[in-house]
Amino acid sequence: MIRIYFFAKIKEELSLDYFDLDIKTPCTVFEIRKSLISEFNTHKKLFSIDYARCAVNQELTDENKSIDLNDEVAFFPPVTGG
Amino acid sequence: MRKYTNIENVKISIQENDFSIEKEHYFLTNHAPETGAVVTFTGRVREFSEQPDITGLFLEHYPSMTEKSLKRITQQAQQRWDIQRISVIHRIGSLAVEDQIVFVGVSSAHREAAFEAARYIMDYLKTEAPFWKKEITRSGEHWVEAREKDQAARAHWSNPD
Repeated sequence: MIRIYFFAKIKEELSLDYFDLDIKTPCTVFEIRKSLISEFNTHKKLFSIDYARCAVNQELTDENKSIDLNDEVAFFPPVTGG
Repeated sequence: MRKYTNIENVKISIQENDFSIEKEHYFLTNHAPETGAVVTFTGRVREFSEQPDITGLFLEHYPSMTEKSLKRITQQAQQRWDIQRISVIHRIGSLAVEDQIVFVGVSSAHREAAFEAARYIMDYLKTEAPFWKKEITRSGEHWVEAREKDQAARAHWSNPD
């Protein structure tokens, strides 16, 4: 199980700050994304590869990144600060 | 000659309160006889963005990642240009039209490094630092969409000089 943190529009539309995803580790960002899409099927656009960015241990990462139990994982919309 | 370390000469702040450009200018220039150039950028809340009748913004961020992300961006700038001091401030929470949102200041011996590094830091901040804007209008609220133009501005820096 891995805890996935959400921010901004994703957090708001799901009404969740985080979700404990039941997934075997180690796994990749891409596998987590696929699981989130099936878990939140009615909101799957929020997790599409063109939209949701993923950070692992507070760094933006790509889809092949391997994730283990103690990693901090977050999915969020493209950033819009500044 | 004094050699600056990264720690003392880079200031990063994520805060709800407003900031003083004058104070940041002082941080960038006090006791710095070797500094010949200071470039500062201030971002403000505009009246018109995606929709008319904006009354304000709400700025959300990812607390454990934000400072780390800004630190990394300033370190990349230090590796690329010969710069002396950097100050980056980003506000969070509720902001009104005409409020200041973001500040980037860079000092260097000569103007070119300070101009370029300030722009580089802003271009990366806009595309990598985990902040999200929600616009508040008289008719409701909406999350601001990321813009292609900002990605293009950042991509400019990865081209060989």
